[in-house]
Amino acid sequence: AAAQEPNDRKMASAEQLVLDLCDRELRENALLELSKKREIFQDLAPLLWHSFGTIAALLQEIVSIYPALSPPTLSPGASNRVCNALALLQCVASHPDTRLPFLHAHVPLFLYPFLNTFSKTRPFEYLRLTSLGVIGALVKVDDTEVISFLLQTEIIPLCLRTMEMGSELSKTVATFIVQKILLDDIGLRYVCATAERFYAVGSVLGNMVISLADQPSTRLLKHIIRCYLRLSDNPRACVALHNCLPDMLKDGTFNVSLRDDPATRRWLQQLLHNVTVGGMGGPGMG
Amino acid sequence: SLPNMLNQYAPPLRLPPNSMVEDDKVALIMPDQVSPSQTPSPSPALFTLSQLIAAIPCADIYFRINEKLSSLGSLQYSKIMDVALDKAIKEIIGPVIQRSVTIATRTTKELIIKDLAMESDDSAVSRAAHLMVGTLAGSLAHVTSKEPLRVALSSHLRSLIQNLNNNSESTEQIVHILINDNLDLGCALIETVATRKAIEMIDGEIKQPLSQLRRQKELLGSGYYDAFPYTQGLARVPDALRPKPAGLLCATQQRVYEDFITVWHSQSSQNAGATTSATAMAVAQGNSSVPRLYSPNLVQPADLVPEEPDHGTTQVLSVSAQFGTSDTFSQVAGTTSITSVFPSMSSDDV
Repeated sequence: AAAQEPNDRKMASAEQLVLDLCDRELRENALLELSKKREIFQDLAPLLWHSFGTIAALLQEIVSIYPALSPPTLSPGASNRVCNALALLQCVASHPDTRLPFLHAHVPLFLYPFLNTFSKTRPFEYLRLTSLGVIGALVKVDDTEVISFLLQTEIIPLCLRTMEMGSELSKTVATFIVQKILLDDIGLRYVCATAERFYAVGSVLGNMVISLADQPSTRLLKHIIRCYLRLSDNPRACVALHNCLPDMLKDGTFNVSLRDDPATRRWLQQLLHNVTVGGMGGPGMG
Repeated sequence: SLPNMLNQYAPPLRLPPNSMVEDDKVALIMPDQVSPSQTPSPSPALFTLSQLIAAIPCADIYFRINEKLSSLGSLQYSKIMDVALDKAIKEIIGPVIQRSVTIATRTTKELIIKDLAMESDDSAVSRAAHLMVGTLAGSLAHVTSKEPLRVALSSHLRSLIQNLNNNSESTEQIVHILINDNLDLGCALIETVATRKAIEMIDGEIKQPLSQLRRQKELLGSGYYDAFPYTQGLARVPDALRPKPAGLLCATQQRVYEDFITVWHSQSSQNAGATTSATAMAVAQGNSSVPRLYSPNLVQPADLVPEEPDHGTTQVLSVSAQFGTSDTFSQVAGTTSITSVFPSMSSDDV
């Protein structure tokens, strides 16, 4: 058995690095190298998923930092290390052949405690951003099974938290996830099923719009507008938006930011049209 | 049309109430999003409350009572902690254990089947599964119980102490100190229950799918690799990385599942009088005679005791001195309203 172990350290191929993940002495370096090169290694995701013990090793990296979450004691080095492990899981979440096995094994749920943290220090901000990256990779391809899983496991409150307190980048990823959930019919119905749910999402979106006036971000604005536009597809939500859509979206505040983004400008026009026309009659949110 | 599209989505969410999917729906809710006062979950619970209480370690529990707390005497404070912790744990333990055991069991089942389908030694499969599921369930239960336990514990401590002490300002201070010093102990107790319950369940979960896979392997011979989702992707994996019987794996691969013993050291299990991780204890108790094929150079039960039995206690002390918990208090209060309106999907949502 031991004779099969490759001895040539110069052969730092993807295969050797994946094998190194099983070795606690070599794991930190292998995580770094693999996550750096994950774009250039062909088919890294199936290699990570199907190789013996690799996902188990990555899960060990995840649970080993749970004690540093509360009280918040996560060091920059430990954050980097676990984020490299998360980058490899993002690779697994992105690949069409491994996405569903990854979901069926419930691996994403071990990331939820990271999204439930509140510290605004860099190690935590980076941890939340990278964790959202894994969820973002799952929703990138439209798949109702993924959306159902995320709704059943309560991802929306965790996204809303990041949309309230995260950096611009993690706000953008969290809003993107909410947008993808809303674009699925199940997701739209779920969020619009009660007035409380709708207003929870609506008020977080509204607060982000207000903060964008001070700190513009075109990419974040784009996802916010897309979320609002999708909400306006639901008749009751559309009536509610008639009253609660932020004025800044109506009064041209963002004309300059959207100058070079015709697609988002059209979405905004469509949103304002929907809210004006559809918002006139019918029962609104409670 | 829209209604037709929705019908397409409906079936997977309307399975009969005893199916795994229905159980998962309720079980996967984050426990801090379930307030104890809410209506009980409609799905059958995996465990009854008395089963869970019975699994709490019954060794003597020593609370840490700060010297500053002199007004009532440390014996009195220990009694108060005991009553408050007992009540608080009973309130939150159900959903926490249900969720962490459900998730850990599913993850372990899928990964063990993926990695150990070629292993013919059942005791080796079982040991790897126990180590993994115990650590995953325990660590998940510990981390998710912390905030709900803090909230429940502080309300019970507050009312118990107020009965003995009219000065409300010092009551808050006392509650704060007691929680800071003893919260991790409570989490460690819940962790132990999760570990034990998950280990009890896992063999039953993997037995059937694993034997099915083995039967197919005998029937199909080399065609086996093309036949299943578990094995299809293996065609692209080089031989050195493929799952094999333990004897054919390299040394580091053989160690991976053993590493679950040491990867998670609850900082506070020392507090609870335990000198090692809940998983190591539970597995050592249950399986002490099992041949350890995955660890030729490890592990006798005596070796399961970690090398530095004392570092946890001091670490917890210095950590809690540096980081007050007041931030977390207000944050929890501020977010409850949002989380409580997003329960798990119910059939109304479909």
